[in-house]
Amino acid sequence: MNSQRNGLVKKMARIPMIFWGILAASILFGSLQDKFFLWMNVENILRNTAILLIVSIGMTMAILSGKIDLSVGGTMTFAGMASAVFLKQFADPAASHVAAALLLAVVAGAAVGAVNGYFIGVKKYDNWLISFATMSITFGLAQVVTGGNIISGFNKSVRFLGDGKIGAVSVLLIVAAVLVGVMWYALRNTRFGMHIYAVGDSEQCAELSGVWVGKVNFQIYLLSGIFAGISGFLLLSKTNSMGPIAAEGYEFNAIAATIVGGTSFDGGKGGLGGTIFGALFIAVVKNGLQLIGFSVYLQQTCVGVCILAIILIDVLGSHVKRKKRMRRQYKDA
Amino acid sequence: MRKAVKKRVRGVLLVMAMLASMLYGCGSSGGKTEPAPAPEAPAESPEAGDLSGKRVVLLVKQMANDFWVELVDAAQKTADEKGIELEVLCPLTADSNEEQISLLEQALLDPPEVFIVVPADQEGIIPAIEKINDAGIPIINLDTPITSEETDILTFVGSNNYDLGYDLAKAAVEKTGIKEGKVLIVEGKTGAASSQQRTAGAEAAYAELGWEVLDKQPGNWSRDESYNVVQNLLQKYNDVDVIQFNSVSMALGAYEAVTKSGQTDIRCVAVDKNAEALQLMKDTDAATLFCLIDNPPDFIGSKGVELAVASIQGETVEAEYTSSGDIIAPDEEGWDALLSKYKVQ
Repeated sequence: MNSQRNGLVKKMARIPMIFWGILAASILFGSLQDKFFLWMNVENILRNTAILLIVSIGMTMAILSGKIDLSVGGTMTFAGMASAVFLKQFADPAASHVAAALLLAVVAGAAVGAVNGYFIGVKKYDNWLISFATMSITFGLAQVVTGGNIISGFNKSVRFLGDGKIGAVSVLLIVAAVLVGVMWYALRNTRFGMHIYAVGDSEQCAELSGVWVGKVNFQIYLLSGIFAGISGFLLLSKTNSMGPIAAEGYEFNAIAATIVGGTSFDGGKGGLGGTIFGALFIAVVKNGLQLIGFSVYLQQTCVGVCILAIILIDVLGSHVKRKKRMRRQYKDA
Repeated sequence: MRKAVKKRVRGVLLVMAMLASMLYGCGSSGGKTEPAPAPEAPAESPEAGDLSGKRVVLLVKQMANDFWVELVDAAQKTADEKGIELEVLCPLTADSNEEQISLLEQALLDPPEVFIVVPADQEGIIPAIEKINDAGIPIINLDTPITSEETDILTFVGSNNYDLGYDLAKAAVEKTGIKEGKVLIVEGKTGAASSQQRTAGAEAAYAELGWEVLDKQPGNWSRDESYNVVQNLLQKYNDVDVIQFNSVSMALGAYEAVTKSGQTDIRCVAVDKNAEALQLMKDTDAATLFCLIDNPPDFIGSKGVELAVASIQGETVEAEYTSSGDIIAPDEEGWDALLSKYKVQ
């Protein structure tokens, strides 16, 4: 019986800190405002998380491999803008036009991803600088395309993916669940996933054990670009508009979701599961603060403080764990 | 092993304690304001009793700018006078259409009597507007008109941004008395509809009056960026007569850049006013900061709440209420009269 309990405790200890953070925040907000646990509100939270989560898939892969992709916000805007301009060619876009626009967004995202991948993976230039440069380029291009204007006003078929429903469930949630599910499985069970972790641990070791590091890095940025492209289209579809600043800040929110979710900047540690909770945590805190009528001036600060709190507790926790392990080792000796 | 659990529990408690202390600590200054008791209200409006417990939600697009703070303050003041509860919502990222939509969706959980909406984009906001329409709650639209014909908007209150740009440009041409002058335009945030319309109005006026628009660049409503933009532009052009700014804060930001450039005959004109700008105009006798056009946020804010109350009480409202902007420039009455008119000491 004791061993059974130990097993349970071990499993509990493996659940990322952020999960408990979400639970605590939910209980707190739920007790202050009974509307918090209504399905309508839960759906709001999930829908507000969905697009960020899809972008964060790419970010999680990049950070897992010890790198970063600062260009995702720009890529989203660029890809979304490409779709928006394309869709505006039609007075009343049909489903086939929408599919073509989605494909265009994916291609645009993949193009940016390929540029990142080429310079970072093949040429081995600094990933911060390259992705920062592509971020500026893509934000800039999105402005050039429209002369800085917002493109808005689309019909129901364009808005189906981001704002529609199948039965009682939001289409956006289904899309996000499928994409995240597939990538979660791939990261844990495929060779590609293992290679990302290997590269993140140590590029040199991975190289020596036969991993084609350049190719893995290229694939990471290509996929990150594709996910950003899809997110750009979904943002367009959800908000019925695409502006040159629409996805500004997504790169930092994606980084926050990934890091809060327990993936380390050192690389090789963490995973997509944590990122799901990380993205949810940010949305829960924002939603809760707003529901209880918290001052708009202080909301942003509070979101920041909550993120900091989670990271601090996580860091302290692992520090204590390390100390204990060392003590045990010395005692054994 | 038991220690591991204890540690987790301690962690959770810590988070909860932190959150709780933050919430209760700062909650008192929250955006939700309790309705003030309206002691004298029943005398003038017999139905005022109906307003107790009624709530109005005001969504703005940002609070990082004097204009919006003044608008919200005016709305709050009117709400207090009328004895109705006003809840103010604002996206964390200024001008974020996406956040505005989700804020309205969340507000629908506990639907108010009336929504007062300042959209960041006139069409982007429509997904949320449709949901409010479905719920059958009236919408009062402020500042930026929601243009779609398929949505149901009770009324619009705002300044006409095109006219603001147009009138200001016209005043600039008249007051400088220059024929075929040259002008630079510093726009607001790229893509913001209000900025685009102000620019369009200005361009139309200058074209009509035979002036040449040398260049237009975004200053992102920011003092810093405006300074840099103007500094760069003045290195490129040395025959500028007027610089038109889409907001007064950008004009103040660029003021140094203009005075330092050595081109002393450049006149700056801007949409909006604030105390700092008026004081500067007085101190320099409008030498560089030449004239402004008033874009009264308090009118928009208080009118919005008044109309919300009117619609709750079943009065009919017109489809549109727009305010005209007054040109602010030195006149015969002198500076002191002008400053006291706009309540600057």
